[in-house]
Amino acid sequence: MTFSGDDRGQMYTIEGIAASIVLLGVLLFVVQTNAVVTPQTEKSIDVGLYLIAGDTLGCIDRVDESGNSTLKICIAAWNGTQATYASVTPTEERSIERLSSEISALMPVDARYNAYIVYDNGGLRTVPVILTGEPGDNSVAVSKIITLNSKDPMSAQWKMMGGFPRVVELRLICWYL
Amino acid sequence: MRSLMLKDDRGQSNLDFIFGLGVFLVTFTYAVSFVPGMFAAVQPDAIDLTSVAYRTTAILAEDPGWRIYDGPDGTPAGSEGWESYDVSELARVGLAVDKTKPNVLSLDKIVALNNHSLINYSVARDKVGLNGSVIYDMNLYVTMNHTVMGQNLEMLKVKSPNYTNFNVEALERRVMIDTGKQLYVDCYYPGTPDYDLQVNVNGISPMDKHNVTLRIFNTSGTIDFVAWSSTYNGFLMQTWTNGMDYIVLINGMPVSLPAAFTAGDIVEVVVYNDALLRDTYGNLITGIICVHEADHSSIFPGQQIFYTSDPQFKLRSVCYPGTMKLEVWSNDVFRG
Repeated sequence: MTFSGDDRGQMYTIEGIAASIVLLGVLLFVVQTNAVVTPQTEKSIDVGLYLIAGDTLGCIDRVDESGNSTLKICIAAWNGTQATYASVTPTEERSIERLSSEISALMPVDARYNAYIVYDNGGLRTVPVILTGEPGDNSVAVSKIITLNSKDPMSAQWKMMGGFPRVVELRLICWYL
Repeated sequence: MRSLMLKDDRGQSNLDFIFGLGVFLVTFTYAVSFVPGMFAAVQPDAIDLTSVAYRTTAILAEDPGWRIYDGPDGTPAGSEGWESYDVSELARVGLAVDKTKPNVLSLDKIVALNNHSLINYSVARDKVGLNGSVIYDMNLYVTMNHTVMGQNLEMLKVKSPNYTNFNVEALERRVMIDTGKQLYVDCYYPGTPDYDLQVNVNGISPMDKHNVTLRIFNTSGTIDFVAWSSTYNGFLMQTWTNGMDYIVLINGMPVSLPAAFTAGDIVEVVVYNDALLRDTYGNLITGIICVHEADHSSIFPGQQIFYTSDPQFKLRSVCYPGTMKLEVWSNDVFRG
């Protein structure tokens, strides 16, 4: 048995025990911690906003005792003017202002929305009627369709267009700030 | 033996190398174990709870509920009006007014569920469909934004007594809460005005336990009492007291009489169902509810208004916007 003078590459006992204790402690510590998981997908928040926006339009479209819904009354009374970013709703357009206040009462405070009226007049027209900003990347869109019949009370704009029964879509694009 | 005692006692592995390796292992293992967290949405736990939460809120907001009772000939029958009947007849809890109006909740059903859950949380949880092959627990909150009073009212709070593990799914729905029918008296009607508002309660069903509410707007004046008369323009029997038999609300807040109001205020005169006169069989005695103006100024429509069938003044549902929030989790150990 020769004890060579070159002891390189050997681990002495005390160092060995200390090293193994440190490694073991590390492994035990890591194994017994719970990894805190948060859903990283933003889809869950989108779904929430989609549900709320859908509920908002559904509630505004409810039919009351007189057989009308607020949504239909407001769209039927729309005079065809557009909204700009300067004025959130078309100027001097009471029915869209009423629609905007009803939507605001139901939507969350920290969400913004744009509303567009989509109809067919020799091609599909999408007219913005409520503009509060540029939709962000995570916006959701919900739609509600109403039907205008020739006997319904409506503005001159719709009467001139004719084509009854006319299907008009109100599209709401919502996003969180 | 002497050769074992070396001058160079350095070990090959430094202790600080081991500590450094330990720190590196901790960080690396933590980072690696964080990767499955990025796919948490597709783990069985998260998918399961989201669909259960959506299904339960859909049942609560869009379904009117169901009760099962024994029909007159013994065969089972059912109806949607579970709120006026015993818990034992309750088959499914739903808060909607009826199937044709999704997301419009009935205040009667919310109050009934509140009472049921006060008695027994398990009943409320079971009848919503959360006690099946897997048992879930829930917290359910409904708040109403009373736009006339200008405050948020908590209408329903069902809290589970069971503990929450860390996986809880919350879902929020927007609803309209139907607080009942009110007679809309628009006093701008240019008829022959009178200083007494006279409402004939003929036509109210004896089984109807709701209060009679008159909503007066578009006028200004002072109300000093509400009385009963057996005929139109007849003698006023002032047997009712404010606070006990009726209350007067101006903009949602109860007021003491005499109370003045202006054209921008909403005045609600609520006559409690118990105060209405009934005969020995429980049927309503037909008569007139009179709202009297203190200064005898003619501000009210000057004709007899029929509560249930007036061609001009209609009964309308008063709906306020609200929020329904549901939290769902499961302590069931046998879940996937």
